Amino acid sequence: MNETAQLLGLSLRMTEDQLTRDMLAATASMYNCTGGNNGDLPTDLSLSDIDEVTSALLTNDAWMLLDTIGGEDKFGTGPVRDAYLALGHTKLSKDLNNINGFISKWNYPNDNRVLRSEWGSVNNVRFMLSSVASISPNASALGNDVYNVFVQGMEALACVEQDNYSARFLYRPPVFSDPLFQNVTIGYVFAEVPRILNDLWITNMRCTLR
Amino acid sequence: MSVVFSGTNQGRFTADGTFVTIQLRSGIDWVLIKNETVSYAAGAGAGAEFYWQRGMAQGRGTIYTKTAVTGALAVAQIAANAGFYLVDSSVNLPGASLALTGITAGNPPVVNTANTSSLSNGDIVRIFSTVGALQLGGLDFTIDTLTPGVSFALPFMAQIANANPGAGTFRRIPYNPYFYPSSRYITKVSQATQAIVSLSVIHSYTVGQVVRFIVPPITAAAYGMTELNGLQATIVAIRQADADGKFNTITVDVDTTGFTAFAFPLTTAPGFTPAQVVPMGENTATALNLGANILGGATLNDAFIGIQLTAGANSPGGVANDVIYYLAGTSFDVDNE
Repeated sequence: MNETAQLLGLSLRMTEDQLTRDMLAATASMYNCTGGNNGDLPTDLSLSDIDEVTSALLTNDAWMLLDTIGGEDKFGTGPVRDAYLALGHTKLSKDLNNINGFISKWNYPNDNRVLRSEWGSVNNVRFMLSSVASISPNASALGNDVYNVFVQGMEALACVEQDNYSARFLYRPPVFSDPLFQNVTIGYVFAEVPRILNDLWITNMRCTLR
Repeated sequence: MSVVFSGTNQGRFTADGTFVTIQLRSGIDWVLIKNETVSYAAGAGAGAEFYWQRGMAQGRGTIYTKTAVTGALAVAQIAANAGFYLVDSSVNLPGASLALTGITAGNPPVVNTANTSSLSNGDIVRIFSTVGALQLGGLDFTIDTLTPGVSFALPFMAQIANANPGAGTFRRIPYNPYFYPSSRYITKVSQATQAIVSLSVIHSYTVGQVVRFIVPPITAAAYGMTELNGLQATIVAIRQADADGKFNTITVDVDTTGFTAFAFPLTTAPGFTPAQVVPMGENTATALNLGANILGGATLNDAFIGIQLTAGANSPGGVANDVIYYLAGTSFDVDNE
């Protein structure tokens, strides 16, 4: 029972993530990376593209979502700027490693400030990677998959809970199933709508792989 | 021994000669189709009943064809691609990669290709890997004027200066983003007191919705109307004819008469971010004034699961004016060894 509840909890949160992901892919404004060198459109991720998106969000008065991590007297570490949050696919990990100025999370001065899904940061953007992040299949000028990286500031989007609840865990004991009490049902329902609150504070930075 | 749990859905529709998709929120493990028109009418040779359940191949199923004299039903397998297809609109998989042989510089541009068998007017295609007309690469377009085995047109695209003289590729995109409203690419903008904006794919915006324009500067000429970049506007009308007489448009409360003319990038343009319309909210007062739904701008998840019935005399979707009943359900257990 505990195991099942844990699995359902995971399923619930992943479903929420996927719905939010697809909402963002449908409605967020987009920016095509052009600073990479793979010859496609959009190109692979580059420092100039990340800075371009950062500049646009700054100009739109989007607040940074994550605070500065101040420098500490530890070998191999460096301070991390306050940052916008970027949500991208795990396949971007190699490309991020190769971007000039990329700071891996293990170079952060304070482990307690690192997010579990975080890969690292480039200037004022910290990248969270997930295997279920958004991909637009065959959507580049050369027909390659396009990776949607949602760079967002504070309160750019929200999940609106409907009917005054977020999620319910439902358990029906076997007494309800049949005369021999053989089957139980366990499940969850949730009623919420992901929504962009201010379209100026989030950008879909589209890129391909290097 | 336990009580078998199952749920059923039933209903009726009148066929219009095209495929029918039945949305079944509770899922589907089997479906029975009864074509009332064929069953009751004189004549023979058409499918009167159809059946499908999990385990049968996609596009197939069982057909019961009405026979002559007694009207008895003869059972057989539905022909390939003429039967039932499970549908989950949240799964976004493009169609196969298909070759094209050129894109004209006409108005509208016409895509030359022999590979039209999977296309219908109104479909969305994504063009890429062309040797010319590079500005169309990676963009989606609604098509029309389909000439089987020869070509299709991109009716909402602006005329392009240089044709694509050679090879290229396209895919059919059999889905829209399932969250509504979604952003769209801009192909044309008029210079008018209330600008008419043409979009590359058929839109479903409604009057009263508020949108923001992204019109990035690409070259000295394109996109030209950069004064529009970043502006937000209320949609005051939809489907008004643009300069080319096409109706996939929104009319907005922005006076563009003094703006620079809108110009789609040329094939020689460097890589660019396309001009786009981004939905952002609702102008309730305008919506009320124009008699529109004030919740038209609400974010809505349109995804559904269900089953698609192919059209045809020997297919479950029937032919035009057939009255068709369906009964669909889920099973307590599905065991297809």
